[in-house]
Amino acid sequence: MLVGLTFPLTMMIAFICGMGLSEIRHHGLKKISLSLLQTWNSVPSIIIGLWGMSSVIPVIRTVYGTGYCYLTTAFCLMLLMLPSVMILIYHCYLDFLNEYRYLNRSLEISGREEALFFIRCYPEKLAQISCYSLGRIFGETTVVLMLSGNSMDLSLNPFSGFRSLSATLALEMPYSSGIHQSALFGIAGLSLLITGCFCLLSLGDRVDR
Amino acid sequence: MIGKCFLASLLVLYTLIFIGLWPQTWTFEKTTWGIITGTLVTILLTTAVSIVPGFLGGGIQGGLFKLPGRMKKSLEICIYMMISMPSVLTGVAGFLFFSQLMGLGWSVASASLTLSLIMTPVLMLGFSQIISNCQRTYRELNKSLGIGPFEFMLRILPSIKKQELSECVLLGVARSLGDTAAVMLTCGAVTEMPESVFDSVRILNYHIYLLAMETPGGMPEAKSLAFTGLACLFCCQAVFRFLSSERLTKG
Repeated sequence: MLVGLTFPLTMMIAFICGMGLSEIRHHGLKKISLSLLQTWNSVPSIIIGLWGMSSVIPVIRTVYGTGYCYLTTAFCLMLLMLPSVMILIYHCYLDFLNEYRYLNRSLEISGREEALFFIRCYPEKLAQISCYSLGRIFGETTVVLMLSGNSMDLSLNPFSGFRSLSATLALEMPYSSGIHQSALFGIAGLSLLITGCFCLLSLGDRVDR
Repeated sequence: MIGKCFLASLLVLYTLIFIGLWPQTWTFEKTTWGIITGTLVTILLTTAVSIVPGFLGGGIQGGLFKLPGRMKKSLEICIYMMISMPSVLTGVAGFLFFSQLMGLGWSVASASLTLSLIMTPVLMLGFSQIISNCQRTYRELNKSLGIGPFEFMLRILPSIKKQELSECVLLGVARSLGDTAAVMLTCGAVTEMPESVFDSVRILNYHIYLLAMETPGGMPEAKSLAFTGLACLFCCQAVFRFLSSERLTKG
């Protein structure tokens, strides 16, 4: 559910902002925007988690529950993922513009058509970016540990707490032994399998060629 | 218009983050020099361990060194899988292999080697992009002057792509340093000054995590540290940008 909430939000915003960023003509403005974006990209997850605890949770708490929930985690995770995905989409879109700029101009296609054309022309690269962001959302531990509430109850309410596979591993691995450790290895294997599948799905087409 | 809106939203976001992290009371009582030294040593060791394989892997991926097609594809798959692998899994692998199997225990060495597993693929990917771009431009020139791939990588590339290479290293450092889950399982939690790389340390981000989550009344200090860290990050980025732009202007 966390991936389902975070992934579409991240990709949508990153797609719009990445394309918007490449439309900036002013050199100085572009330089400042890129610098700020790269600084945001290098902000450690612990800081975003802490910010979520001190700023987002009190806001969510006023609406419903304790604030440690899917919604808070998804929002902060999106903030964490956004700059890197945005930078990747920006570079991908720049490649597209370099390749098709004159064709687009000569055909006088609109912005929306250009975006659709971009998706059609670069499905592999976009799939790679999606895979990267899915892998990072799935594997991000610190933010999830801090904001999910680590509740073991299964609930699909976006205002309820949860515990992710990666958080379980981080919390329980140091003191585990015997069957408990085997179960954690099972979880680790499952996580690796899921991430590997995402990765191979996005790379498969390119590798075959 | 788009640019101004984008920049404005970025600035609003930064303001919100800084306001949210502003501590009511500034305190650094539980933070020791051992934590700061341990963090710095771990970063340096991780960078030292990762940079050579990262550079070589980047050279292979960028087409500078020829490998059989299947091996190159396998390497590419491995790099992408390593990049998208959850950091906690890298932590588990490091915990089992470096801490337990190799007997390094919870130490700086164990944490650095684990973090290098995160940093190396990032460097490989970044370097490969830079090298492949350079290859397109300089391939013919290299051939005509008889410059070999090693000479190109070690002598020519650092001089023409200094800024991009250093940005790539910074990105790798940020990616590996930002991971708390991996060090949680490998570095230990001792706050004293480490005397060797086999001593246990507490990395700064893990320290912030412990203060925020497990220390009663530790939130103000966690916020103070996070705010200071963020401010330092901004200063470092600003200095780096300033230096690189100066260098570019001079060049």
